[in-house]
Amino acid sequence: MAEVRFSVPKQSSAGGADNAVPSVKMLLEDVSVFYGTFRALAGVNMPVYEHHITAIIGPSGCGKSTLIRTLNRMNDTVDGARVEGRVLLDGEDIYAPDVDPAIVRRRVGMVFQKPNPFPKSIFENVAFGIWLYNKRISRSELSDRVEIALKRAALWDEVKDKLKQLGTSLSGGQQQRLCIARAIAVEPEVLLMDEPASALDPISTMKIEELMLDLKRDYTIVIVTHNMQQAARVSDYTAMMMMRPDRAGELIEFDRTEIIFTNPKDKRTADYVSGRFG
Amino acid sequence: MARSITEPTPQDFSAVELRGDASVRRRQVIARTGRGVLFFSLVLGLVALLTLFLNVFDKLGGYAVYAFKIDPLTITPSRPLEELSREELLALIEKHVPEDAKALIPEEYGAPLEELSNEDLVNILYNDTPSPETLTAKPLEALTREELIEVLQRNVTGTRFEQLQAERPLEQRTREELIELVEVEVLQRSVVWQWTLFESIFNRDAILAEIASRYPGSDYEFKWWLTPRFIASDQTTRPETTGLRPALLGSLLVVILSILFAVPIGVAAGIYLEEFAGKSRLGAIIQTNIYNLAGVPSIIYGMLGLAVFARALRDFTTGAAFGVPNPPPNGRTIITASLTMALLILPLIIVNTQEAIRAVPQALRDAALAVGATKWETVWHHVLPVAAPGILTGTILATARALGETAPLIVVGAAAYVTMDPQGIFSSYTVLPIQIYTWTKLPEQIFTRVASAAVVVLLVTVLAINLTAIILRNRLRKQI
Amino acid sequence: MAELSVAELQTKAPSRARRLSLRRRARPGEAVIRTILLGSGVLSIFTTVGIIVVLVSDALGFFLHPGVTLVKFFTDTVWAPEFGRYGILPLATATLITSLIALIIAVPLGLSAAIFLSEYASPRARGYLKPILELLAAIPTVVYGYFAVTFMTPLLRSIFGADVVDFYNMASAGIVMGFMIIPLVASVSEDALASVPRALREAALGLGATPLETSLRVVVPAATSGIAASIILAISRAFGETMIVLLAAGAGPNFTLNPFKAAETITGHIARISTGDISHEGMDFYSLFALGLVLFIMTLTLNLISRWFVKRFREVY
Ligand SMILES: Nc1ncnc2c1ncn2[C@@H]1O[C@H](COP(=O)(O)OP(=O)(O)OP(=O)(O)O)[C@@H](O)[C@H]1O
Ligand SMILES: [Mg+2]
Repeated sequence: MAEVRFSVPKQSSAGGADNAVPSVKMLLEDVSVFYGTFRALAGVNMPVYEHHITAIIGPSGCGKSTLIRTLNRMNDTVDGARVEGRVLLDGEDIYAPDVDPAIVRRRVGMVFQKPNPFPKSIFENVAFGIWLYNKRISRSELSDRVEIALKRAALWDEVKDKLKQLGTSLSGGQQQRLCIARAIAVEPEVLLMDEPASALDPISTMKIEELMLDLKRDYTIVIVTHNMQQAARVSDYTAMMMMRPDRAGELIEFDRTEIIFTNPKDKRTADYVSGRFG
Repeated sequence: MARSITEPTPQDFSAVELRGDASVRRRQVIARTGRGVLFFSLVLGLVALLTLFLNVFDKLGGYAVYAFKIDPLTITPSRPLEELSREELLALIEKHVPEDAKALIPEEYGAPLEELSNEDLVNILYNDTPSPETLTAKPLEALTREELIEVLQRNVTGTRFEQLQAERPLEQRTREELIELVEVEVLQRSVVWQWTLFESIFNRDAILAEIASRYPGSDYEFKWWLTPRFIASDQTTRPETTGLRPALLGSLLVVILSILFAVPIGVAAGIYLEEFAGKSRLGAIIQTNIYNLAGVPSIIYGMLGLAVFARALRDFTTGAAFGVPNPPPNGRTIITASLTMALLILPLIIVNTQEAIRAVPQALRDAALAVGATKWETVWHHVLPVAAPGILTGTILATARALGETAPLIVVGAAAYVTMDPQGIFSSYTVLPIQIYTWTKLPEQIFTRVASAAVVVLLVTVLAINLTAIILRNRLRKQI
Repeated sequence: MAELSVAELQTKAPSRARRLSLRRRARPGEAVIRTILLGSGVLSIFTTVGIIVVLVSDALGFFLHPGVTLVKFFTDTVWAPEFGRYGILPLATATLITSLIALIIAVPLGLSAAIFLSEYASPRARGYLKPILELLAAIPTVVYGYFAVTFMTPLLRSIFGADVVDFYNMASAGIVMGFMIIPLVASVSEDALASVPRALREAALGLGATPLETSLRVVVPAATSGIAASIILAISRAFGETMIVLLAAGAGPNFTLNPFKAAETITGHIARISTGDISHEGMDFYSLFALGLVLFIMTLTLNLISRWFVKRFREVY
């Protein structure tokens, strides 16, 4: 096993329901990612705790998207991308040769920076993923599941009368919530969000943040954000990344969010979160 | 220009006024002239191509002078001279025997005309008129419809008669139509001379005067070559009767079949290259190969088709292997042509499919993959529907290409003279562009007028198809 | 329908508690589809292989014939298979002359049109002119052939005299071929010119250059490799063009450099000979493939060079 450099979290001082030591849902072990010969990520070790929100922060180009896309093998779609090290999901390496990437993505869902609804109806947007793995599903069960997903994404009331309309006809904030509904409709265990609110107005952003806090009960969430307030508001753990001189990204600090924001060990983290950097 | 850069002195500033000195003005004149020259060459190119269109239209119609190859009176019903009454015989002699011959009659027959026997009168007519058999013939215009049909039946070949019947039963045609049919089919009324369209429009009076002086009494009209009859008729050896239908049907069959062969394979190859080949070596090889294929002259495809489809696979492409009777010689069948054409348009379809697929945003693929779709599910459910209009555009362009390509079909053997509609995929055939080639190449000048009608049909179809594709594509570009 | 809460809905449609195994699933359908897609891609390679095999094998039938030597093939000035003379020169010179005439017409006109379109025309004008160019490129070549025979030849004969200009002549075919190629030169060069960055133009204009100086001294040199590609592509197209020369250039091999004389090109000869009821064996047939092989090698080389140029200007910008 690779050397684990992050501090294992102690019991939360905040007390309450969070008192138990959270279990590790995903674990990155010495993960490096290459685009062709360019090394974008160097030796990252990091846990993702179940039913918690983990935020990834860091200056632009330091490899945050690369890291989060490594968690569900989204980087497979990039020609020439290569991953070294191990990424464990419930103890199983998702990069093992006999693993089916489609099933990895089924269990580790993703919401992207720019809302990307299918150019199909709102209903079909949400139903597609459900139908994929259950092609004999009855129409009524499918509708129920679509409804659940839209409700959980706090979009139902706005779209229940126009499910047949194109998903692309919604506003940006609605589109992003549709994408969240689409992602949670397939009941993934982990939900990855790469700057999900960066293209949205403040009100939509707030809605998405509320949504994340609500979804935390059922899902494990990883979010990339440039917004320090957002990271501080929603996340339980924060991973701080930086670019090395050779432009490879590395994880410089991982800890509970309040520690990162109040008492970080690394000087660069302190500079970054207080806005003195990047 | 080549001055070294130094601090400008105040004089430098004053020297360059806004309106410029002489050298600046000269440069501006050159610039304007240059712009004019560039514009002029663009216009020149367009004018050249406009000339092309006008030239085709110029050949499409115009005043035409006709002549009958056969005297109408020799084919209309007539009564034998022996059956005529004395009065009728005298009237005919009065009308048709030249005066000098008439003057000699008393001397020859030993009695004045009025005293001769009927038999003598008949003899006079036989000896002293140029075509005694036609003396009693009715003029064409005087015939009834039944008589006209009978004339037709007696004077055209059995197959031609059946063809005409099949086009439209003769009983249903008007008398004028029947007369025209007799004139064209039996009397071989043909164009002796035709002016061009623009001459006929702008020089009308001069032409009419020339007709009166050079072709007195002859029959003339303003003749168009592109008529519904032309489009719907079988091919014949005469410009007046030939038609385009076998070529149109042949083109239709060849284009449809080649699209059916090429589109599934081309789209599949395009999908493979864009979505599955990645950076693989095989993918790169195929890609280079396709670019090179797109630049191979079309006649080379013809040679490939000739060697493979028409020769090596002859038993299959003529249907002989499937027991089809009377296969055309040398594998010159619709199926050979379609397979050859399919290979020719394949690179076009592949490249267009690739472009259409490449235009689909990656975000859409990510979206589908992120809910656990496999690569193929992503492509099938999300990429292809979005790329479909683009692929369709490519297919439309390929259709136009297949319709207009000529050289490869000449090589695989479409140029044979084919009068009848294609009977199926193992039938011999002709196509629209081949027909244009054949007619243009014929020594009789008048066939270039026939060809012009076919050119218009081909041009209008090909340009309309392309225009559709361009409009479709511009719509798409706006959407994305 | 009464509104159900999420919890009620979830009891109605319970989620699957069982976790999916990460193990690869057997997806036989997808394997088949992948194979089909790959096969379709590979088929295009077979086309090329087919072309090469067919041309080479039948050309061998020609070159291995006792009466034929490579030296004679490339130096004899008579092509008359019936008399055992197999010199490609008359056909090759006709191909070169018609192509040269075509280029003399198409390159200046096409390039000027491209420069005008990319540097001067308003976006609106370009919006109309570019589709027109595309439409013109789509005109079937047999129509150009018709134009050559019915318009260009009579025109040349009326200008230079019917005793100077043969009824079939290379000039008419070459000129019309030039018209045919204008859209090709124009659109490929225009692409190259359009891909020159705006900044370069603005820099030149900012230095006080007139628009003409900017386009001729800055933009055109920057797009050289793209323009070169368009010209080479045009040459390749002219070499391979068949219908125009078949209709207008001549109906028999003739070794002459006079453009007003009739002479058959390589493509014209292949097309004309295969029109008749040619037997699928024998020297006549094989000789066509030898000619086809020469044509294929020439156009392939030109296309490779042109792609190399295209790649180069893609790399620069
Ligand atoms: N598909 C790719 N091919 C090659 N290099 C890439 C690719 N994607 C990202 N990179 C490189 O990897 C590095 C990390 O990129 P990444 O997108 O992960 O950064 P990021 O932290 O998400 O930045 P941002 O905050 O701007 O989104 C960058 O140097 C980038 O140029
Ligand atoms: Mg990013």
